[in-house]
Amino acid sequence: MVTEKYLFKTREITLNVQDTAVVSVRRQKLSQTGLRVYANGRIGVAGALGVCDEGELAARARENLSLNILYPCEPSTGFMELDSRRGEMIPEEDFLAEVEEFLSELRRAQPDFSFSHQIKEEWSERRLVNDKGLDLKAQDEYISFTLLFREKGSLNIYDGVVGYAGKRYDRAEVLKLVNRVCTAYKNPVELKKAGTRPVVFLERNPTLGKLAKELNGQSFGTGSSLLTKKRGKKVFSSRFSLFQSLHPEDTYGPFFDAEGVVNDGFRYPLIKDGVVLCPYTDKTTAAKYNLPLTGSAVGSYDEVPKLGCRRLKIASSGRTVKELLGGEEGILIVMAEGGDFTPAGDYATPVQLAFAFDGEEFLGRLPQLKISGNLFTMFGKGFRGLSTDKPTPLGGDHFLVLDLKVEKL
Amino acid sequence: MYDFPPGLYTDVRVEKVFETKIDFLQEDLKECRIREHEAAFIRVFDGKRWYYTSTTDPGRIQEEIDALAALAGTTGARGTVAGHPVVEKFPVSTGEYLQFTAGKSIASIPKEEKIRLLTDYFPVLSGVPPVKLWRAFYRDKREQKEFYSSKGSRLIFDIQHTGLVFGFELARGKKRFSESFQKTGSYFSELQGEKENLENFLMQCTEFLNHARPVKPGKYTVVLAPLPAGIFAHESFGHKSEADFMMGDENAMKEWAIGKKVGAEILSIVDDGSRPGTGYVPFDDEGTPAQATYLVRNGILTGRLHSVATAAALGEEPTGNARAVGFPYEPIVRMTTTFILPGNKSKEELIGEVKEGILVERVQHGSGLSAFTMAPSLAYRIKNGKIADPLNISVITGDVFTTLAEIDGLSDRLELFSFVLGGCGKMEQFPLPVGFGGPYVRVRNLVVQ
Repeated sequence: MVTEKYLFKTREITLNVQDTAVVSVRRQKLSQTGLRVYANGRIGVAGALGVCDEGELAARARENLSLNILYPCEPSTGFMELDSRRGEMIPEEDFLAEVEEFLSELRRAQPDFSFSHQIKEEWSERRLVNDKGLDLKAQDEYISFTLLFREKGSLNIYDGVVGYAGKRYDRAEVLKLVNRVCTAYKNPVELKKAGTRPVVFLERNPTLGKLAKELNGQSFGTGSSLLTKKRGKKVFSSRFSLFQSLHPEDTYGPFFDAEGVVNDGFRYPLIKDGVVLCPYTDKTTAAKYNLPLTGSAVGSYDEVPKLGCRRLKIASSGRTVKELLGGEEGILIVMAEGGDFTPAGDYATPVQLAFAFDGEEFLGRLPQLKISGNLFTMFGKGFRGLSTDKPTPLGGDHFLVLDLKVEKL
Repeated sequence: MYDFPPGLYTDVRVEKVFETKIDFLQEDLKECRIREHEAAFIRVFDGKRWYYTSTTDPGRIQEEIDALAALAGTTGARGTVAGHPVVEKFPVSTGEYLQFTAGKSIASIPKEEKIRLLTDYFPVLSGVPPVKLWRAFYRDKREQKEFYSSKGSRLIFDIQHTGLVFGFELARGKKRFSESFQKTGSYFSELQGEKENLENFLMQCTEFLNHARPVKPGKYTVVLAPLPAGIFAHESFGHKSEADFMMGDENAMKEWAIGKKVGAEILSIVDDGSRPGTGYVPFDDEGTPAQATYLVRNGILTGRLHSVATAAALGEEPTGNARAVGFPYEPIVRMTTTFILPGNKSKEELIGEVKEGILVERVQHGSGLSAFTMAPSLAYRIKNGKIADPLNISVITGDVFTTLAEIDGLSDRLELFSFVLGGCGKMEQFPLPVGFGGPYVRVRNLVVQ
């Protein structure tokens, strides 16, 4: 019998913002402990919040072996510790005062807008340790500005969203980002030309969600994925490569998955130069369908590890968004909610907020649009690439440029 | 009880939770988790700002109250809270309102019985050839909440819901389709006897997989079945009725003035936390009792959803809509069970009057900012008043207020829906259990892609 302990520790300070002022301060400190036991190809799990009796937890986990939850895989081994904290966030004791200063400047800079939602700092520690010699420990931190903005008098709940999440804070840079967005918003412009146009998303957007669905190892293995029979085949642009990533530069959180799998360089290639290499898998899925193990198990502290999608990361094109646009005016998607893919991969969505974008400046607010395309085309001949630059140097996503059909709503 | 610090408003919400999560992937049991915990959320208001914290150790509640009070004291506003309009608005609720105790509690049902409930349905799922992958889920949750405030609230109540869900992916040749079947209730006994309904739904999905064709994009008259109609009510109007979005914006308050015409005369929308189901909350997380709030009556804006703070700011009354998704979070303005009231036509009449249109039976999701959207899964052409061939549709859109005005028919039967997977998301708080529904709703001129 192998016993494994999964520890989550989180500390956060959250400021809720309403009408560009802090209305509440929330401090949280949470610890969660999970105990797993492995025996005879089965797993038993138990968990608790806060201070707990680990002996009692282990006893409950052993009792849960009787549920016969099959786990015909070996627990992981190995030692690694990674501290991804950079110490460039706002010190906790200064957080409220600094955010109030920031909001005060924002009120002066953007009197026609009301900002709401949340500004937050979080520190976390995740540890997975077992009596076979596994000991993985990850520490991380992030600051996030998520500001919904509304032009005063607007009928909408919000007109757009601006912000970033990263490990660094600089008041002037955050103000610069918000001011760029608000300035563009106040400048309505026409869609110069309908038809196939370069559409600029931030990297994490619904198109990646569809790829995540089709690259699921279970769907792949059972034949319900559109990519099931495409393994080893080139179905996307030769410029398109995709990784599953727990690299600290790509995502916040631990570098290991819920089963303790650590990939070389914290990334695993799923699509390379347009060729489908493999779906993402956890241990059970990899064994069941004879697929490579990519380390994509997820699960809360008290759950059996299961297959889930970790961060999907597109390989960089090595070019800026301006270079990817190649002199054309892009359509920068700020808010596109409500659309979806059909099972065959056709995509359509309304765009509630988009800016005309030359790769450097947000030129102005476009009318409401609808965009459409097909999964295999947008990551095929319509794929221009992922940029080297981002909306703000403080963190967050890179720009993704895809050719899609654009029309006025 | 607790020693509430003078000069401040303080409340404590204690949650005692029992919940079960059982997951199968095909016939293999993948998860059987029972969580039981007791935890508390504590709020202090100093007249200027709220201070929040939570603890998983009930023995530390007083310590946490004192720590928050010390923090509040640093603002210099301490001592000013008496007579504050927000504090004045807080109701004083007392009493014990426990419905789901002893044999009625889902905690009294052994986990083996919950597993057996699911496995009894497996032959139905494994006997349908196009079903390539299926999953089965059981969920239940009983929450006993206690609410104590420095104004004198001493309240104990409970809520409970339970349900099963079967999700399946179908494939034939190059065609793909995924859907799910679910049954929910307040009591375990309500989940029995759904085999025939599951079989019929699988048959409908198989037919859809085999025969669905892409829709010709354009503008259509669309009949929304009660489920999509409920999503439309929730997304397109419910969220706009949450009063926190207009806080501090006088223009928005004028635009959303009570009495304004916002939709067709036949349209009425209600939010009601006293309806059984996943939106049932006899009291909200500030101790305000549930009530039916008419958001729209006969096309006219008649109400909105409030917490105590938003009610005080807008000079209105709390509506029992301050809800938190769990003990680490503060209550914010949320919906409960939101629905469109029925009209006077039969479903057959409603569809029979459409020469060329679309019936949307089920949707994957919807949204409702300035434009309303809906991603249908099961949709059908209506031709000469009859339901015809199945259609693949990416998205249906329309301007929210134009769409509300384009509603020209309602069927005469209300159906309400509850959900045990997913829920409503707002800010960081997801998933919050809610309910929604309506009758069949006919809308002209929707853009279909």
